[in-house]
Amino acid sequence: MQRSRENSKSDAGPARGVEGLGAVYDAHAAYVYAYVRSLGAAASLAEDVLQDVFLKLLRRRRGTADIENMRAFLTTVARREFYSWGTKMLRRREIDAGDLKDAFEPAMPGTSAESVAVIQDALARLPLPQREVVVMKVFGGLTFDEAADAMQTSTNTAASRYRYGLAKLRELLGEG
Amino acid sequence: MEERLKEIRPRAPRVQLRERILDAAARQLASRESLWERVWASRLFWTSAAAAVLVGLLLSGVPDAPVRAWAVDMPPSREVEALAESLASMVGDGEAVKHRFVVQLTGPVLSGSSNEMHQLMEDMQWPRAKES
Repeated sequence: MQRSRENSKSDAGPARGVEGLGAVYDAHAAYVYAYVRSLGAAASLAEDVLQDVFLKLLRRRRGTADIENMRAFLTTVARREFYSWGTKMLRRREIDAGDLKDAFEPAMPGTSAESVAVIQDALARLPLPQREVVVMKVFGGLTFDEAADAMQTSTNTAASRYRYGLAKLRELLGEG
Repeated sequence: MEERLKEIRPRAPRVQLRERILDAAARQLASRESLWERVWASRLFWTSAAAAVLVGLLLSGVPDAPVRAWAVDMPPSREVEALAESLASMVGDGEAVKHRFVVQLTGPVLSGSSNEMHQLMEDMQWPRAKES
């Protein structure tokens, strides 16, 4: 419920001017940052990608009126930006799919730092396509259609990757 | 499984990143020029405007007046003097007629006005027609 509210068009707000962009940033930056990290970007690369994503939003001639779901839109732009940096960064070894350190924090008062590290580690060990869709769905609140759009694949493929991802996580976390 | 995953949430990036992005956004907005400002600053705009003004002036005939004044004020060439003198002697009305011929010959030659040349020819024929 909370996530779908964060996700709605009205909460996204138009990115007009610096204040508007600041509001969009506050609503979505944490998720977009974690998403880019989950693609395998090191912290510094994820920050650069995040900057490019928000500046692209500001440069958009059409504004944000035609964006139905700001979070899905930012996911798509972030993915494109990440892969446009990809080859160069791979050469500089700044992409490490196994490192999600500090990308997540406890969401509930009772969650320990160890528990966060365990879940984070399990996520990092998922194959990239499964990890990507799990992050989009669970932390971004995207629908399978939106996730499939972002990944340029079919809805069925996105859904099955998600199922496989959850099964693998269960196995990794000893819940199977 | 989703419940277990919801024990964690994405951590917000460091605070400085927000400032960095918003500073970059402010700079980007400040450097963005409006369409009119870009047109105003373009060389093409000013060249076109100058060309349009020049063509307008030429079509209106305004620059013709100073050329005519200059043509009349400048000393006539020897050829014009000679032609005017011979014409004046044919008409037979002396220095005043010669001066008129000089003015008439100098103006039309420089401005290229065929109407004035035609008028001149008519003026030349008038005394003869009068005599006959």
